[in-house]
Amino acid sequence: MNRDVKILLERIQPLFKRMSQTRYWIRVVNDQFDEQYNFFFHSQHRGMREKSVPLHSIKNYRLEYLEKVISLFKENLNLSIYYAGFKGLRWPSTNKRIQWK
Amino acid sequence: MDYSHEPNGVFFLIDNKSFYASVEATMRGFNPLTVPLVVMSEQANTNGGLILATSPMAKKLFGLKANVSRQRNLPQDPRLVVVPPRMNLYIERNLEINDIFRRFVADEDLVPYSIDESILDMTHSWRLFGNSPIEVAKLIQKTVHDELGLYLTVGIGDNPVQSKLALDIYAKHTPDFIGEIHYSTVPEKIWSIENLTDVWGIGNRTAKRLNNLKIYTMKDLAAASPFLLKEKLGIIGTQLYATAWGIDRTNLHKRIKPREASIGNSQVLPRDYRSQEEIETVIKEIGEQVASRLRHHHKVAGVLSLGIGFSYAASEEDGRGGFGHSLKIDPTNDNREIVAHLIKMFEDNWQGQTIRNIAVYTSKLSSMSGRQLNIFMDPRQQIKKQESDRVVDQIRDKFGFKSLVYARSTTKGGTAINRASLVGGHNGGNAYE
Repeated sequence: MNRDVKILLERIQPLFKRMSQTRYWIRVVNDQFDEQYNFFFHSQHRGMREKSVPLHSIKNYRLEYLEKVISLFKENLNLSIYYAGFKGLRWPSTNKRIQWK
Repeated sequence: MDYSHEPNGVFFLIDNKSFYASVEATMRGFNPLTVPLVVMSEQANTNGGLILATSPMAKKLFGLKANVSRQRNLPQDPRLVVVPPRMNLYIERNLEINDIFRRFVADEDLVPYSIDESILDMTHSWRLFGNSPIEVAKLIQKTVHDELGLYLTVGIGDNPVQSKLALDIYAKHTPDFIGEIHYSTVPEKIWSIENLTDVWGIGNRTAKRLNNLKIYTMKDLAAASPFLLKEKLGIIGTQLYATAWGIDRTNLHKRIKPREASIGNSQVLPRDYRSQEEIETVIKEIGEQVASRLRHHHKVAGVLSLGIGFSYAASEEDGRGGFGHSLKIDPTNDNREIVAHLIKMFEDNWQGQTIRNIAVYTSKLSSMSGRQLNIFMDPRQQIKKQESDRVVDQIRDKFGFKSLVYARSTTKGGTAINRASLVGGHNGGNAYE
């Protein structure tokens, strides 16, 4: 498997506890300052503080590569993914918008 | 007041607005000024969590003030984002920021003051970048914001202390995050400070001592007799008097050489320790850490101090918070000798209290110029012991502390392995990266 995907899945495992009344999601950030993509694991129990734990940064700063990582990731884990910093950018293969809000 | 003979230049004291929180916000694609975010350390010894940094919005929404406070004082509010610290990342960012500063000043005119503050002596270079110091300050702010997404606050003064006060008192509350104090504005800007503890260098204790002299504001301080201040507060009294008048004769180019008076380490334990064996495990670990630092500095210590802090309940019962003892020893940096002395000091003084803090300090350091052999022991044995410490140090330098640990550190109570990956007691990086 792709090394970056493997790291992501490994690090999510101890965090993704699947507790009741808890929302889990992934935040992917286009980090223009460091020219990399940052991945965070977010979780929030109802009515409680949101937690955000850094997972990994992908140094290969190309959308084609990110698209590949995301699709491999989705094959293995069905977690919602939210994107930040991608306004106006589109996925290279489908030409769909990456970030919706 | 005649300021004509005082040093007069253009000084910037620049700090990062809520540095750790801002770095974490930018990494997540949040605006550092608008996201309610706190950086919380959840190490075993933080008793549920220690807040290391709070974003400006979190401060505003929840009235959080001092940075270091407890998790239990933080409301459970779904708007808050809690993130773990990454100390190595902050160090890296700080270096990047200082590199940007170096585009505006010569190396010798830049003095990094802390993890998020630097002093820039702009006297000789500000004209290269704008028509006024304020314009240059704004340019520096913009550069750092464009390249790193971080917001800077800038205090401007004719000398370092003025810029520090301008930063602490004014820059943090103005819309452009810039504050200014000059010799000409000392009365309106410094004497108007009503709360003494707002001033750099005045804490609660100093404020109390000043109050005893009927000094309650900076204006009172400026009007006080410098001779009385010196008599009552010593050299600090004179210094505070100068601060009140906005005077600072520091030469930033003259780097102060620390006396290297002592090397030591301390830690708060993750829970109350009761058993002698567990306590001595940690004393041994800290002792070895200190000994290793001595060896890295090529020093030997002539005095060894052990400080033990009792648990809350034990100190209530005992009436003391703990005990501390110092011992004069034959100068050494040998693991076994140092640990043996520490354990003996502990056993001589400990009466079964539960404990929560352990500190080991060494002083009367001298440079290591060969080893004094003990005539009552086999010299080969002594040299062998020294060699083994050296080899362990080398292996750890190369492969990390955890590559080689004493078996005892894996027993119940040991903290060295867990602490090895921490920076200043907090999570150093992405834990993995």
